[in-house]
Amino acid sequence: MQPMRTGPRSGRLINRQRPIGFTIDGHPIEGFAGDTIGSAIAAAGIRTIARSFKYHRPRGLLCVAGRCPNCLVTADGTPNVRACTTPARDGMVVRSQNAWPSVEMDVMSVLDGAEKVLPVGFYYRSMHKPKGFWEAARPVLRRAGGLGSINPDPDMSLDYVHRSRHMDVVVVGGGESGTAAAAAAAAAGAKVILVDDQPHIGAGRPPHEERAIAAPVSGAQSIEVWSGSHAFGLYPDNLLTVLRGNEVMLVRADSMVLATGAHEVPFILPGNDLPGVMLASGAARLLHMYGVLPGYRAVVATLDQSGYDVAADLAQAGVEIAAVLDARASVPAFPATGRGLGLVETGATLVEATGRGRVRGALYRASDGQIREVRCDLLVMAGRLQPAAQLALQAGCGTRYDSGVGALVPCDPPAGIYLAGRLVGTADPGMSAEEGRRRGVEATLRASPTSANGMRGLCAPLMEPPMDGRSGKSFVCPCEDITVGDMRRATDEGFEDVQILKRYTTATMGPCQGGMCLRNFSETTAAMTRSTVVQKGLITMRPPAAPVPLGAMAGAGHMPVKTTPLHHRHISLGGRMVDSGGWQRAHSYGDPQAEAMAVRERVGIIDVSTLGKLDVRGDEAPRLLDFLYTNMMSNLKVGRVRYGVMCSEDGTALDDGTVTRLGQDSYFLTTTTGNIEFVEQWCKWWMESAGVAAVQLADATAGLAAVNVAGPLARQTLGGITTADLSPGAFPYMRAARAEVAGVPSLLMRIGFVGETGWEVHFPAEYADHVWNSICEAGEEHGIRPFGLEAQRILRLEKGHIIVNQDTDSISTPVELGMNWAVRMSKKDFVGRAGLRNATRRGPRSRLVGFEMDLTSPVPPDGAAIVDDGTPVGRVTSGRRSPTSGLPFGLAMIANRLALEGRQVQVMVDSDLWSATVRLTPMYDPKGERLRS
Amino acid sequence: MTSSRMPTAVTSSHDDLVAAGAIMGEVGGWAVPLHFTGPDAEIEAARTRAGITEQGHLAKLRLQEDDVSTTLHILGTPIPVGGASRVSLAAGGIDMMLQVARLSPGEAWITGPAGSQTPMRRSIETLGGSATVFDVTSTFSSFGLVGPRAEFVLSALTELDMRDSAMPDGSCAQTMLAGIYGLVVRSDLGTVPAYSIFFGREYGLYMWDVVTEAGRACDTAMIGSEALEALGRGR
Repeated sequence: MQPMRTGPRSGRLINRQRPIGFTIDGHPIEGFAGDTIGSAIAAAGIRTIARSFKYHRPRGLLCVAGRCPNCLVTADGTPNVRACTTPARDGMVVRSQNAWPSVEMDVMSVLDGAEKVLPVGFYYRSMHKPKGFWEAARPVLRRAGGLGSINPDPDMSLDYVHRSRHMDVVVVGGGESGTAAAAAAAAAGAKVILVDDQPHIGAGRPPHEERAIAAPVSGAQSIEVWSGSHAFGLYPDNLLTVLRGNEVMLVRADSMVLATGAHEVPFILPGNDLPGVMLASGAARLLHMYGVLPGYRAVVATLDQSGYDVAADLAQAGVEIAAVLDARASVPAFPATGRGLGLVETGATLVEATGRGRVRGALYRASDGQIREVRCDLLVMAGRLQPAAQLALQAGCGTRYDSGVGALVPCDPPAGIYLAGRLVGTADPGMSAEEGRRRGVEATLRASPTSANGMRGLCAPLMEPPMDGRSGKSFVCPCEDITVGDMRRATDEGFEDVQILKRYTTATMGPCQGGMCLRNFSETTAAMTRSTVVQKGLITMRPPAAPVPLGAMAGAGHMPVKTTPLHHRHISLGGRMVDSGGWQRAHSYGDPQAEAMAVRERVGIIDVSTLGKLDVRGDEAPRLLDFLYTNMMSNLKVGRVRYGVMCSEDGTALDDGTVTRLGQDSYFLTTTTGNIEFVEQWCKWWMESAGVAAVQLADATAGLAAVNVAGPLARQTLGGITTADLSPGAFPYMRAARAEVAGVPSLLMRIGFVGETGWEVHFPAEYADHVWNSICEAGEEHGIRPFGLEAQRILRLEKGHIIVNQDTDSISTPVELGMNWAVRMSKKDFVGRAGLRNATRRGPRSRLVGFEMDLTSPVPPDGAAIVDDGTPVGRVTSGRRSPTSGLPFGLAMIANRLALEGRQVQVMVDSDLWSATVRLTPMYDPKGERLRS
Repeated sequence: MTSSRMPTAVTSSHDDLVAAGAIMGEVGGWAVPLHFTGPDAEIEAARTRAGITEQGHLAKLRLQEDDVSTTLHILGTPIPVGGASRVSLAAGGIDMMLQVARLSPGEAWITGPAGSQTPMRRSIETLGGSATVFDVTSTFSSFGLVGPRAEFVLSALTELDMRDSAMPDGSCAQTMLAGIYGLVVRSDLGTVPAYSIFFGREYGLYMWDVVTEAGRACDTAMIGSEALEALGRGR
């Protein structure tokens, strides 16, 4: 049923040959392709679409342009969709918001009578005592008020894309001045983007006007027309953000023309929010674009000619015009379209929209001073304009009072911004287009703007609008349900500055961001403080100027992830991938304990491509490394590997790794996973500071894949596929050699992070799969098993090897870590020397030690407290269960006085205390015999 | 054991390329996608829309010195910072066409045919170039974006000004690409706009997802080396 649908001649955007159907709150709605959700609902004769934010008052279509908050619904799970501009789709599921059990019968509407106990800012005054009251009340308030519920489906954000564009000229606004500006800029040689929030250029205008407006830009090669796009932010350097479908466009323009126009806003009077009260432009849109009658019997209240135009259109469509109420005392030339419109009264001021739940009549003060009422089901308000100045004000424009508009309009734009059209008070379409043309050329040439049109005039004090009437409240801000009464209370309390008043009342801070209330708020404030709008000024405008979904703000969620060249191999082996220092690493392949035992008993292979790798070359490379590491690197022989620690100036350990000397002036450094960017920058910083010039650094992390082959059978596994001699005499511990592995040139380093005989093999990343497969093939007869990050951590922990930032913190020096052996204080200078000297003098306050627990004890989590005699004395830095002994064990940072072999301490796990024994030597292979074998 | 034949090198996107239907061949020791749907269709896509090509196999050198213009002058390409140029170089007894980009006063970026990094480096040293040469072939992955809509694909990756006035044919820039460090070099194939983007190999899989997703909006096609060569010949 579509009782409000007009005859077939109107409704330019709908296709009556293509019916569609959807539901709202389970009720079927019929419509046509081209309908919006709101137009289809209106065609069904439904007036109430939503409930208001605070008082739960019924709301219906008002602007039909996406500017007001009156028709917010949840469509297919997306909350706060504007029904009036969102295309309806067949099968769509629409739900009303902020109403229970239904939008027609909302029990929370009892709040509409509670404004005396719920005045603006009531929660500031009444809920701070007793303690805890606010915490209890807040969720209740948030549930009572509202704007729909966020859909927690994380995939929704993936629908949005951010794109960047640079353009010669961007024009915002697709009216007469905007299209003229775009055409003129293009004719002057500029490439232009024209942004307009309407579904197409000229939408909502009568057909002949629509064609005239669109003509200058239709078919122009140099103009991209972005219709249905919302410009919501204007930032320094002419960066404009535009929501265009599922794309957020970040457009940087050499110049920008703002021709955003002016739009109607409601009159301030009691009942101005009732369903059936509409802006004239909204009623016209509903009629012309969608072929829907906004009502059966209308009263049109107008301040200018536009009311007569819409009254004539409504009458022609079959709406009975009960009255046209013209507020002007005398009309210069009686509008020709006024004839045949029933009662036409001049000097008639609308004072109230009457009715409960919907509009049923209009009270007005006639020119003779008498109050009269006209019955109606549609009250149209025409001619009260507000410049769409949000973007101009975001750009930093000033304001001036324009007597033609009767409001503040933007002026004095910053360099590169040009203003045109009704936005600045140029009302005449011809003059507006001419002004647009001028601005388009000036924007292209980056010339200074010529003088603006518009009528400057004195701003007179305003009458205070009425607070309440028979049918309820006078709303200033429909989004936040801020009434004239609220404004009165707030100004009586001393909040007279517009900025403070905005924050206190939250007026202009709702979904329309001042779109419907900036002028009304400004004028009401001025009237209540007995000043003028010029004296009060406007509030500061900030992005977004239009509502933007959070998903659009987030964009596609580009979260760079590093993967090794063996990533697909780990997936195919069933590896459970985890993030480690920004890299995707295999945590395990199913059984970390078994993987660890394979390394202890046979041979294992792990992908260590994530290690940072730095290629350091140059005559001064030895000097640089001596300066950056705590131990000596200049005396390292070619082909040798040495463990090194880098410290900050205060001696704190920053990173550790290996240093391999490849040639007299060539070194190969490894760093901890995820720390290569820092180490490279650290090196470059100190090269500058220490005056080391003859060194070249290159990050080789991504270019080199690396695997660690470890275990008692590692030699047998690798030996068959490498050109290197791996015998203990030829390739001892902490040596390195270049050789081929499976035919691939590689660097082999004999080191032992996991405490077994093993080689770290580095080779070009493009051969990673081949080398891995070759090693696994060679190790098959030895029972080789891939092991993951967890097994590696268990194994290194048994050996007492630290991980910087896991077992260290921001005050751990090598002294606390028991690594004095890695510090050469006899060096003349190095980074951290002074700090380490001080740390050595004062002695360590705490100390990193090993610990073991009984077989029945739980494995303590990282960070578990170490307790001695009831006092916290440290924390567990790493805890695991040993696959070799079966005991819980780990590393802990404890008070230095307790760092004694065999000392008993306690570990707190889930509030229980468990005994632990301090160990100062590694629990596995303490003499390093297996490592060196 | 004795030395064996070098295996075929693969790029960071190898598995994804195969999954996307690439017919692979070996070029300069690398597995390279020769074509996907067929050269003619791919050429048509590149001429009318946009195409994505795999370029991770190209030889890549990074030159560093206080002022790299001396070395570039020896190579016959005295290009300014932000410029890019093609230059012919005799390396290993073969004349090869290189792409040289000047990233900064002290850094240049050279790409050449797959497998040519060693002869390229030796040639530069033989000619007397004083810059320190780093072979970054394995360190950087690369995609090519070809066609009139390539700029649109790039608009989802970078905030760089891609207008002809700011990024003309024969230019380069260092920038952020989808949140990571990268290089963009523009070197058109005749009248067809063509860009190369370079980024750390560790982001290869991530960038594959990002670039193919960005290209989906304008019906971007995968392009093999055969179509690319034909476009380079002006077909």
